[in-house]
Amino acid sequence: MPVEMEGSSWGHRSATLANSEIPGFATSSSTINAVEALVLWKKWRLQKPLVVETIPTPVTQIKEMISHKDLKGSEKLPTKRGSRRRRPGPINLLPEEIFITVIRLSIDADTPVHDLVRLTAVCRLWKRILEEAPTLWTGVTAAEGLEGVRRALRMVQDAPLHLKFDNSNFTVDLETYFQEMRSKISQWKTLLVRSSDRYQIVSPTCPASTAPPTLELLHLIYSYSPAQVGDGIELFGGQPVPVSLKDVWLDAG
Amino acid sequence: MSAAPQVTLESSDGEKFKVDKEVAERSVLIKNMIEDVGESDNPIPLPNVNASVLKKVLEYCEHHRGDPLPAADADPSNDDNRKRATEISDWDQKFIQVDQEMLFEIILAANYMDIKPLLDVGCKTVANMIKGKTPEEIRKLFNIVNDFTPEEEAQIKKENEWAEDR
Repeated sequence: MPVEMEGSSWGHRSATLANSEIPGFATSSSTINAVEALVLWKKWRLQKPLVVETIPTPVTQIKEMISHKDLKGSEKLPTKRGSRRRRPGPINLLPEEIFITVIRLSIDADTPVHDLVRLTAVCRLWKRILEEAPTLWTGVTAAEGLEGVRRALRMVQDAPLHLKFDNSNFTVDLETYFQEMRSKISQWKTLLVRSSDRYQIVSPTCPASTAPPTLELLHLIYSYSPAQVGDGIELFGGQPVPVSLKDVWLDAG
Repeated sequence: MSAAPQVTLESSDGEKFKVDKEVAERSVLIKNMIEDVGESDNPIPLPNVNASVLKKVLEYCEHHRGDPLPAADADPSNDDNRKRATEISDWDQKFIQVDQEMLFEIILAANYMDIKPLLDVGCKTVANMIKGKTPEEIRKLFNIVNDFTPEEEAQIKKENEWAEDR
């Protein structure tokens, strides 16, 4: 927990405590009375930096308020007067919806799950927000590998899914990928398949039982050989096209 | 030529800014306030924005005064939108080259004042700062404390092992 000290020529000190945790306070009843502690706690709840005026408190005592295990790496108490002020970056004070937007913009379109998983390791707050935001996990590509696909499917809850199988960039094969994705077929919203293999182009839309009932966009990029020109492709196994389907793109890629 | 109509905005710390109405109305909040209250000589109070941030925000609004209003929300989970997502124009890039504290203040002000294009620029800038960094690099950059216990960290590492080798 970052704590900064400011000394004045009167020997009067204040401690500036900010941001996301408060472990020191739990054990500080000997140095801060109950009312002060309550004020501290309330201010902390408001997540605003706060300045606590205390009776002249020796630095050593304030140090004791913060258990040493809370201090990691470069984070040391500046004790010298005039030492550089060091406040926690305000990213963790952003409203959650804005934070989620930032994260959404930062993740790679091909491997969003890899990026998200990496970001959950930053701190508890990030982990909680990311894991409680199903819409972040809805882009599920075959470049994520089986573990990635499964992790995404555990996270998405009921959110609409965006599927992508690109046979120039995949780490889970087509059959396995769609087998996993079929467990959430009612949530497919967009489906992109890129392949030079006719079977790979056709088969994702041919489910064993039902067509994806809420699919809105189907984008097929089919790099066929000249010999195949004129061959038709039948989508959805000849079954009726989902009524939700708004757009079908067929590109020769 | 008659002078363009102007409005006065008042920052949280009491500083007053007289600007063209067209500039102030880049903020949907202010636009709605003017519509609700009608034109008046009283300054419009912005109790969540201090003078230095408001000055910066108005600089943005002034530069973008003639821009068409932002289109309706594009689906951010759409692939193409996401690819375009982190592009920032040259002027905006220069504008947003500020210290981290000011960057986040601008984001909060843009959110409060409802200036979506400015909020986008701020979010994209932070997103670009995060891109491709390890958790440790991110903590360092944003001064975030690693508050996982060693046990939790070991558990996360184990769960995320498959994602490490990229």
